[in-house]
Amino acid sequence: MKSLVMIPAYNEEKNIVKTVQDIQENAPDFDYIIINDCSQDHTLELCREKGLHVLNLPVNLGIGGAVQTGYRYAAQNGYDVAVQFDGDGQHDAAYLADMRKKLVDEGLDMVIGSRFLLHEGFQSSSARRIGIRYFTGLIRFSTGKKITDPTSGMRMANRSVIETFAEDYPKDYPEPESVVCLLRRGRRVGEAPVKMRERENGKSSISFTKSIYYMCKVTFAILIENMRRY
Amino acid sequence: MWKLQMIGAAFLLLGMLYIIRLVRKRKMELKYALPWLAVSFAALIVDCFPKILSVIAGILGIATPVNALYLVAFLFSVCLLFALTVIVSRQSERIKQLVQSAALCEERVKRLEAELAGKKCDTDKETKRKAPDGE
Repeated sequence: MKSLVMIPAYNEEKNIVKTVQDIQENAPDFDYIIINDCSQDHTLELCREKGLHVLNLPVNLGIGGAVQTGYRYAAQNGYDVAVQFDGDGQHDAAYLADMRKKLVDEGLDMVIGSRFLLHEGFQSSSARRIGIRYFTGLIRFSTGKKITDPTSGMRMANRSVIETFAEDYPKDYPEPESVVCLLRRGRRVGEAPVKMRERENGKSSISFTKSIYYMCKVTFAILIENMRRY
Repeated sequence: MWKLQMIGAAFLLLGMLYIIRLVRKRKMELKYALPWLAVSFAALIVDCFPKILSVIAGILGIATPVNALYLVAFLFSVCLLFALTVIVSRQSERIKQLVQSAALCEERVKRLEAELAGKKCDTDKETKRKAPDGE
């Protein structure tokens, strides 16, 4: 089973090598590809120097565009499974095998790595958790499915979802919206418990002032997604 | 009164000439220049025959003709801005797809180059190894 780890990276020179080492040690049968989203630091130079596999976006596209590049790469190169994995050291490659087992054994289309199934590891700030719970409620209200961690960036897709996302993926703040997009298309989405680490270097892409905009935008995105017909 | 009209007409004609010059130099696409030319032309006609404004104001039930002018100008601006927003959205989607394709192609070229270089080394070794056997 050809499996790929997709690592979107924007200014991750401090974390990227460690992330790749984590994957090579703890998930050795996964290939990986870094998507450098036009970093301003030396992420690209570092990747080239160490001979890491990297897709280099010549123009900054933001997280959605970067992740979609990974899905297009997976679609083009015949991968059966592709998993999004943050380049900032938050995610732990040791869980990838379990996630894939769940994906295959339960015949799911997507498995999301959730921090809130076992309540272990870094649980995010309380303000963020309120926001996450709000999205859980909104998704449950609109699709009837309970997703405990809809903003998790650690998510694994099977071939059919790889092909769907290669064609069509939201641009910014894509996580909750893309889950709704799958549920609306009748795909089976499940969650696997994972532990996440607090990020060591770099900060969240979402600052406090942006979070209001984030909540409004994602709410509208989910509502409009529910009006689409597939 | 006609002095102001002359000045207005002069400005409008200059503006139209400028737009045509940009199109000629390919700095503006004719497709996007047409609405501007059309509105300049319409403004020129209104400038020459101001009675038109009173007629429009009469039809719409607006007391002063100048307010009819403001209304029409405002509606035109909003329509144009809206059309531009639609165009920007389409452009941004196309740029995204192009950037992704460029990155995917570049990676593929690098990978194939490396493969080719590796094969070349292999064949070099093979020919070297085979050479003594042949003798």
